[in-house]
Amino acid sequence: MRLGLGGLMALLLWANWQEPNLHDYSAPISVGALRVAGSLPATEAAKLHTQLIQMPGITACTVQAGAHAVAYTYRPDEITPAQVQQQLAPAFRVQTYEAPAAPVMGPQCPVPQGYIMALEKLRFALNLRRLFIAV
Amino acid sequence: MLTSTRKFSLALLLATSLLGTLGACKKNAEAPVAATSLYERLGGLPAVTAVVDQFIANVVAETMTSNSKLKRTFDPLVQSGNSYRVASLRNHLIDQIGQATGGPLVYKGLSMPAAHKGMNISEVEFNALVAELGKAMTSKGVPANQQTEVVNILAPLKSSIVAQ
Ligand code: HEM
Repeated sequence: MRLGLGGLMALLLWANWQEPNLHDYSAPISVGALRVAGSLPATEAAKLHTQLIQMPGITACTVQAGAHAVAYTYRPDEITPAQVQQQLAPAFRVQTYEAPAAPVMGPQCPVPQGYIMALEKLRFALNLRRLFIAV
Repeated sequence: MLTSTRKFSLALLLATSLLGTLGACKKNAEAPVAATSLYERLGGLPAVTAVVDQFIANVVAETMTSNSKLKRTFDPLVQSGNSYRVASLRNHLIDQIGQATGGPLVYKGLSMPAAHKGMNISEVEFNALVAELGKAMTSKGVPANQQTEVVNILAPLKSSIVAQ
Protein backbone atom coordinates (compact mmCIF):
# COMPACT_ATOMS: atom_id res chain seq x y z
CA MET A 1 0.00 0.00 0.00
CA ARG A 2 2.72 2.43 1.09
CA LEU A 3 4.90 1.42 -1.84
CA GLY A 4 1.99 1.93 -4.22
CA LEU A 5 1.22 5.38 -2.84
CA GLY A 6 4.89 6.31 -2.90
CA GLY A 7 5.08 5.23 -6.53
CA LEU A 8 1.97 7.20 -7.41
CA MET A 9 3.37 10.29 -5.69
CA ALA A 10 6.65 9.92 -7.53
CA LEU A 11 4.73 9.61 -10.81
CA LEU A 12 2.71 12.75 -10.09
CA LEU A 13 5.78 14.66 -9.03
CA TRP A 14 7.59 13.65 -12.22
CA ALA A 15 4.59 14.63 -14.34
CA ASN A 16 4.02 17.98 -12.64
CA TRP A 17 7.64 19.03 -12.14
CA GLN A 18 7.78 21.12 -15.30
CA GLU A 19 5.25 22.94 -17.41
CA PRO A 20 4.08 20.91 -20.41
CA ASN A 21 5.47 21.54 -23.88
CA LEU A 22 3.49 23.49 -26.45
CA HIS A 23 3.54 20.52 -28.83
CA ASP A 24 1.88 18.34 -26.17
CA TYR A 25 -1.33 20.23 -26.95
CA SER A 26 -1.32 19.27 -30.64
CA ALA A 27 -1.97 15.79 -31.99
CA PRO A 28 1.19 13.86 -32.88
CA ILE A 29 2.04 13.38 -36.53
CA SER A 30 4.07 11.09 -38.72
CA VAL A 31 5.55 11.71 -42.14
CA GLY A 32 4.92 9.88 -45.39
CA ALA A 33 6.55 10.20 -48.80
CA LEU A 34 5.50 8.91 -52.21
CA ARG A 35 6.84 8.76 -55.74
CA VAL A 36 4.39 9.13 -58.60
CA ALA A 37 5.05 6.90 -61.58
CA GLY A 38 4.48 8.24 -65.06
CA SER A 39 4.11 11.85 -66.06
CA LEU A 40 2.84 14.43 -63.60
CA PRO A 41 1.85 17.66 -65.36
CA ALA A 42 1.11 20.71 -63.19
CA THR A 43 -2.67 20.24 -63.43
CA GLU A 44 -2.40 16.62 -62.25
CA ALA A 45 -0.03 17.69 -59.47
CA ALA A 46 -2.58 20.24 -58.30
CA LYS A 47 -5.30 17.59 -58.40
CA LEU A 48 -3.17 15.21 -56.37
CA HIS A 49 -2.47 17.95 -53.82
CA THR A 50 -6.16 18.77 -53.47
CA GLN A 51 -7.15 15.13 -53.11
CA LEU A 52 -4.46 14.46 -50.52
CA ILE A 53 -5.00 17.53 -48.36
CA GLN A 54 -8.72 16.80 -48.20
CA MET A 55 -8.21 13.34 -46.69
CA PRO A 56 -9.11 13.29 -43.00
CA GLY A 57 -5.95 13.01 -40.91
CA ILE A 58 -3.64 14.70 -43.43
CA THR A 59 -2.23 17.86 -41.82
CA ALA A 60 0.02 19.11 -44.65
CA CYS A 61 1.28 18.00 -48.03
CA THR A 62 3.69 19.09 -50.71
CA VAL A 63 3.82 17.93 -54.31
CA GLN A 64 7.02 18.49 -56.27
CA ALA A 65 5.72 17.90 -59.80
CA GLY A 66 9.16 17.96 -61.45
CA ALA A 67 10.51 15.29 -59.14
CA HIS A 68 7.26 13.27 -59.07
CA ALA A 69 7.59 13.59 -55.32
CA VAL A 70 4.92 13.84 -52.65
CA ALA A 71 5.51 14.37 -48.94
CA TYR A 72 2.79 14.62 -46.34
CA THR A 73 2.29 14.78 -42.60
CA TYR A 74 -0.54 12.78 -41.08
CA ARG A 75 -2.12 11.84 -37.76
CA PRO A 76 -1.35 8.14 -37.40
CA ASP A 77 -4.48 7.45 -35.38
CA GLU A 78 -6.67 8.83 -38.17
CA ILE A 79 -5.07 7.56 -41.36
CA THR A 80 -2.26 5.23 -42.42
CA PRO A 81 0.15 5.50 -45.39
CA ALA A 82 -1.49 2.37 -46.85
CA GLN A 83 -4.89 4.10 -46.78
CA VAL A 84 -3.39 7.21 -48.37
CA GLN A 85 -1.95 5.11 -51.17
CA GLN A 86 -5.21 3.22 -51.58
CA GLN A 87 -7.24 6.41 -51.90
CA LEU A 88 -4.83 7.91 -54.43
CA ALA A 89 -4.43 4.70 -56.42
CA PRO A 90 -7.40 4.98 -58.78
CA ALA A 91 -6.09 8.25 -60.20
CA PHE A 92 -2.34 8.09 -59.56
CA ARG A 93 0.29 5.37 -59.64
CA VAL A 94 2.10 6.00 -56.37
CA GLN A 95 4.78 4.08 -54.52
CA THR A 96 6.08 4.55 -51.00
CA TYR A 97 9.34 6.43 -51.00
CA GLU A 98 12.12 5.62 -48.59
CA ALA A 99 15.30 7.65 -48.54
CA PRO A 100 18.39 5.64 -49.41
CA ALA A 101 20.33 4.55 -46.34
CA ALA A 102 22.69 7.24 -45.19
CA PRO A 103 25.24 7.12 -42.40
CA VAL A 104 23.77 7.96 -39.02
CA MET A 105 25.03 11.29 -37.76
CA GLY A 106 25.85 11.67 -34.10
CA PRO A 107 24.98 9.38 -31.19
CA GLN A 108 21.71 7.48 -31.27
CA CYS A 109 19.38 7.09 -28.30
CA PRO A 110 19.22 3.39 -27.32
CA VAL A 111 15.63 3.75 -26.08
CA PRO A 112 13.12 3.34 -28.93
CA GLN A 113 11.50 6.68 -29.75
CA GLY A 114 8.06 5.06 -29.51
CA TYR A 115 8.58 4.46 -25.78
CA ILE A 116 9.78 8.00 -25.24
CA MET A 117 6.74 9.40 -27.01
CA ALA A 118 4.42 7.15 -24.96
CA LEU A 119 6.08 8.38 -21.75
CA GLU A 120 5.67 11.99 -22.89
CA LYS A 121 1.97 11.33 -23.49
CA LEU A 122 1.60 9.90 -20.00
CA ARG A 123 3.46 12.82 -18.45
CA PHE A 124 1.20 15.31 -20.21
CA ALA A 125 -1.94 13.43 -19.15
CA LEU A 126 -0.86 13.55 -15.50
CA ASN A 127 0.46 17.11 -15.63
CA LEU A 128 -2.16 19.19 -13.84
CA ARG A 129 -0.36 22.41 -14.73
CA ARG A 130 -1.99 22.18 -18.15
CA LEU A 131 -5.31 23.06 -16.54
CA PHE A 132 -3.95 26.54 -15.84
CA ILE A 133 -2.30 27.25 -19.18
CA ALA A 134 -4.13 28.60 -22.19
CA VAL A 135 -2.34 27.92 -25.47
CA MET B 1 -12.19 4.42 8.96
CA LEU B 2 -8.84 5.56 7.60
CA THR B 3 -5.77 4.89 9.67
CA SER B 4 -3.58 7.89 10.44
CA THR B 5 -0.86 6.56 8.13
CA ARG B 6 -3.33 6.31 5.28
CA LYS B 7 -4.67 9.77 6.00
CA PHE B 8 -1.16 11.12 5.99
CA SER B 9 -0.32 9.34 2.74
CA LEU B 10 -3.43 10.68 1.05
CA ALA B 11 -2.68 14.20 2.22
CA LEU B 12 0.84 13.89 0.89
CA LEU B 13 -0.45 12.60 -2.43
CA LEU B 14 -2.78 15.56 -2.77
CA ALA B 15 -0.03 17.96 -1.81
CA THR B 16 2.30 16.47 -4.40
CA SER B 17 -0.16 16.88 -7.22
CA LEU B 18 -1.01 20.41 -6.15
CA LEU B 19 2.61 21.42 -5.82
CA GLY B 20 3.14 22.03 -9.48
CA THR B 21 -0.31 23.37 -10.24
CA LEU B 22 -0.19 26.04 -7.53
CA GLY B 23 3.20 27.16 -8.82
CA ALA B 24 1.79 27.45 -12.31
CA CYS B 25 -1.28 29.30 -11.03
CA LYS B 26 0.79 31.90 -9.22
CA LYS B 27 3.06 32.41 -12.16
CA ASN B 28 0.21 32.85 -14.62
CA ALA B 29 -1.62 35.22 -12.31
CA GLU B 30 1.47 37.40 -11.95
CA ALA B 31 2.62 37.45 -15.56
CA PRO B 32 0.93 40.24 -17.51
CA VAL B 33 0.03 38.82 -20.90
CA ALA B 34 1.27 41.00 -23.77
CA ALA B 35 -1.68 42.50 -25.66
CA THR B 36 -1.01 40.90 -29.01
CA SER B 37 2.11 38.81 -29.32
CA LEU B 38 3.18 37.59 -32.74
CA TYR B 39 2.10 34.13 -31.55
CA GLU B 40 -1.44 35.37 -31.05
CA ARG B 41 -1.49 37.34 -34.29
CA LEU B 42 -0.32 34.26 -36.21
CA GLY B 43 -3.30 32.39 -34.80
CA GLY B 44 -1.79 30.61 -31.79
CA LEU B 45 -1.02 26.90 -31.63
CA PRO B 46 -3.18 25.77 -34.58
CA ALA B 47 -1.39 28.24 -36.87
CA VAL B 48 2.10 27.43 -35.59
CA THR B 49 1.39 23.70 -35.92
CA ALA B 50 -0.01 24.14 -39.44
CA VAL B 51 3.07 26.08 -40.57
CA VAL B 52 5.52 23.62 -38.99
CA ASP B 53 3.74 20.59 -40.49
CA GLN B 54 3.78 22.26 -43.91
CA PHE B 55 7.45 23.10 -43.42
CA ILE B 56 8.26 19.44 -42.61
CA ALA B 57 6.36 18.26 -45.72
CA ASN B 58 8.21 20.87 -47.81
CA VAL B 59 11.60 19.79 -46.48
CA VAL B 60 10.94 16.08 -47.07
CA ALA B 61 9.68 16.78 -50.62
CA GLU B 62 12.74 18.96 -51.28
CA THR B 63 15.04 16.08 -50.30
CA MET B 64 13.37 14.01 -53.05
CA THR B 65 14.34 16.43 -55.83
CA SER B 66 17.42 15.77 -57.94
CA ASN B 67 19.18 19.03 -57.06
CA SER B 68 18.22 18.98 -53.39
CA LYS B 69 20.13 21.21 -51.01
CA LEU B 70 18.70 19.59 -47.89
CA LYS B 71 19.19 15.92 -48.78
CA ARG B 72 22.60 15.65 -47.12
CA THR B 73 21.38 16.75 -43.73
CA PHE B 74 17.83 15.45 -43.75
CA ASP B 75 18.11 12.03 -45.42
CA PRO B 76 19.00 10.29 -42.15
CA LEU B 77 15.71 11.58 -40.76
CA VAL B 78 13.63 10.66 -43.78
CA GLN B 79 14.77 7.03 -43.82
CA SER B 80 12.25 4.36 -42.93
CA GLY B 81 11.94 3.59 -39.25
CA ASN B 82 12.95 7.12 -38.39
CA SER B 83 9.56 8.77 -38.60
CA TYR B 84 9.68 9.42 -34.83
CA ARG B 85 12.82 11.46 -35.37
CA VAL B 86 11.04 13.70 -37.87
CA ALA B 87 8.06 13.91 -35.52
CA SER B 88 10.39 14.87 -32.68
CA LEU B 89 11.99 17.60 -34.81
CA ARG B 90 8.49 18.87 -35.65
CA ASN B 91 7.60 18.93 -31.96
CA HIS B 92 10.74 20.84 -31.06
CA LEU B 93 10.07 23.36 -33.82
CA ILE B 94 6.53 23.96 -32.53
CA ASP B 95 7.97 24.61 -29.07
CA GLN B 96 10.77 26.82 -30.33
CA ILE B 97 8.70 28.94 -32.72
CA GLY B 98 5.96 29.08 -30.09
CA GLN B 99 8.29 30.56 -27.51
CA ALA B 100 10.17 32.79 -29.96
CA THR B 101 6.94 34.40 -31.12
CA GLY B 102 5.72 35.04 -27.56
CA GLY B 103 3.70 31.89 -26.89
CA PRO B 104 2.90 30.74 -23.35
CA LEU B 105 5.42 27.90 -22.97
CA VAL B 106 9.15 27.37 -23.02
CA TYR B 107 11.28 25.43 -25.55
CA LYS B 108 13.18 22.73 -23.67
CA GLY B 109 15.13 21.12 -26.54
CA LEU B 110 18.80 21.34 -27.33
CA SER B 111 20.55 24.64 -27.88
CA MET B 112 21.07 25.48 -31.55
CA PRO B 113 24.84 24.76 -31.54
CA ALA B 114 24.23 21.42 -29.78
CA ALA B 115 21.34 20.44 -32.10
CA HIS B 116 23.42 21.10 -35.24
CA LYS B 117 26.81 20.01 -33.99
CA GLY B 118 28.83 18.03 -36.53
CA MET B 119 26.36 18.72 -39.34
CA ASN B 120 28.62 21.33 -40.87
CA ILE B 121 25.62 23.18 -42.28
CA SER B 122 26.55 25.64 -45.04
CA GLU B 123 25.05 29.06 -45.65
CA VAL B 124 23.42 27.70 -48.84
CA GLU B 125 21.74 24.94 -46.82
CA PHE B 126 20.64 27.41 -44.16
CA ASN B 127 19.07 29.68 -46.78
CA ALA B 128 17.40 26.71 -48.48
CA LEU B 129 15.76 25.73 -45.19
CA VAL B 130 14.61 29.28 -44.46
CA ALA B 131 13.16 29.41 -48.00
CA GLU B 132 11.10 26.27 -47.22
CA LEU B 133 9.82 27.94 -44.05
CA GLY B 134 8.84 30.98 -46.11
CA LYS B 135 6.95 28.79 -48.58
CA ALA B 136 5.21 27.01 -45.71
CA MET B 137 4.08 30.31 -44.20
CA THR B 138 2.84 31.53 -47.59
CA SER B 139 0.85 28.37 -48.24
CA LYS B 140 -0.71 28.60 -44.79
CA GLY B 141 -1.75 32.21 -45.44
CA VAL B 142 0.60 34.00 -43.03
CA PRO B 143 0.64 37.70 -44.05
CA ALA B 144 3.93 39.02 -45.45
CA ASN B 145 4.62 41.36 -42.51
CA GLN B 146 4.22 38.51 -40.02
CA GLN B 147 6.46 36.29 -42.15
CA THR B 148 9.13 38.99 -41.94
CA GLU B 149 8.72 39.11 -38.17
CA VAL B 150 9.20 35.33 -37.89
CA VAL B 151 12.25 35.36 -40.15
CA ASN B 152 13.75 38.30 -38.25
CA ILE B 153 13.38 36.35 -35.01
CA LEU B 154 15.06 33.24 -36.44
CA ALA B 155 17.77 34.94 -38.52
CA PRO B 156 20.08 35.71 -35.55
CA LEU B 157 20.29 31.95 -34.90
CA LYS B 158 22.26 31.55 -38.13
CA SER B 159 25.68 31.97 -36.53
CA SER B 160 24.92 29.23 -34.00
CA ILE B 161 23.70 26.81 -36.70
CA VAL B 162 25.98 27.32 -39.72
CA ALA B 163 29.39 25.58 -39.69
CA GLN B 164 28.88 23.88 -36.32
C1 HEM C 1 16.61 29.13 -38.13
C2 HEM C 1 16.98 27.95 -38.51
C3 HEM C 1 16.85 26.68 -37.70
C4 HEM C 1 16.14 26.41 -36.58
C5 HEM C 1 15.25 27.34 -35.78
C6 HEM C 1 16.36 25.01 -36.25
C7 HEM C 1 15.81 24.34 -35.16
C8 HEM C 1 16.08 23.04 -34.81
C9 HEM C 1 15.58 22.37 -33.64
C10 HEM C 1 14.67 23.00 -32.61
C11 HEM C 1 16.07 21.11 -33.63
C12 HEM C 1 15.78 20.00 -32.61
C13 HEM C 1 16.65 20.14 -31.40
C14 HEM C 1 16.48 19.00 -30.42
O1 HEM C 1 16.45 17.81 -30.86
O2 HEM C 1 16.38 19.25 -29.21
C15 HEM C 1 16.87 20.96 -34.83
C16 HEM C 1 17.52 19.81 -35.22
C17 HEM C 1 17.97 19.61 -36.49
N1 HEM C 1 18.13 20.55 -37.47
FE1 HEM C 1 17.72 22.52 -37.28
N2 HEM C 1 17.19 24.47 -37.18
C18 HEM C 1 17.51 25.44 -38.09
C19 HEM C 1 18.33 25.31 -39.17
C20 HEM C 1 18.71 24.10 -39.70
C21 HEM C 1 19.37 23.91 -40.97
C22 HEM C 1 19.79 25.05 -41.89
C23 HEM C 1 19.51 22.58 -41.15
C24 HEM C 1 20.07 21.83 -42.32
C25 HEM C 1 20.14 22.27 -43.54
C26 HEM C 1 18.96 21.91 -39.99
C27 HEM C 1 18.90 20.57 -39.79
C28 HEM C 1 18.57 19.96 -38.61
C29 HEM C 1 18.68 18.52 -38.39
C30 HEM C 1 19.11 17.48 -39.42
C31 HEM C 1 18.32 18.32 -37.04
C32 HEM C 1 18.45 17.02 -36.26
C33 HEM C 1 17.26 16.23 -36.10
C34 HEM C 1 17.63 14.91 -35.42
O3 HEM C 1 18.77 14.51 -35.46
O4 HEM C 1 16.74 14.30 -34.88
N3 HEM C 1 18.49 22.87 -39.13
N4 HEM C 1 16.85 22.15 -35.52
